[in-house]
Amino acid sequence: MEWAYAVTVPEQLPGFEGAHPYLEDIARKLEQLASRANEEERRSEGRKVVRYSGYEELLAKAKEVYALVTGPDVQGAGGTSFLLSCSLERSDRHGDDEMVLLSPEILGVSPAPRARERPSGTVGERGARNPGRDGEFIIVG
Amino acid sequence: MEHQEGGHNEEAALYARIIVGWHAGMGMDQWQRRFKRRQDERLVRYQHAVARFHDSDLSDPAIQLAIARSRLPGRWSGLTR
Repeated sequence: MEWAYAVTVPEQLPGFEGAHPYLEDIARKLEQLASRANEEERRSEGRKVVRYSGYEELLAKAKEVYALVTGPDVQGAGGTSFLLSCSLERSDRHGDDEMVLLSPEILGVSPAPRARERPSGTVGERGARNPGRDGEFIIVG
Repeated sequence: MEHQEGGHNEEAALYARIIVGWHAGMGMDQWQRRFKRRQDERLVRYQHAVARFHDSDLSDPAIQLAIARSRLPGRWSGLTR
């Protein structure tokens, strides 16, 4: 195949005579761009940037983002609050109105632990009201 | 930032189109000149690979990477094996 790359592009494709005279050079440039795009895609996997104006909105968005991985049977009833708290602690890109919600895999809580609520059933809500501080719920196993 | 990333993707897609376009339009002709119209399984593989890339989504970074890396002798067409 190297014979193909020894042919100049302008010779073969009039109109493409530009900064890259050989297919080999084009392929090398393509590899750089595609590798970078692949790397960026991998880095952004499991990270979701959300904007919010208040805590209620943040919690609502977190519920959407974590809908598939939280619930009474997975991560416990306070799962969303727990993941939100962990994201708040770990995220390095959150300001007053924006934060990055990290996936359970990145947070190191996947596969989900078995969890249960305290008998009062209000623990998850307490955690939700004050994420990252006294969000108390019990993780078993 | 998004615009910049989009620009890079467009640039990469253009490079991918140039490479695949060259092979689809002129690769066969070059191959036949070089190998005296000999038909064998290497040519079939080459045609198959070109057709596969030609029908692919060239804006997909994974496809772009495969096209770029296929420049290595023999990796794409098996011509030098």
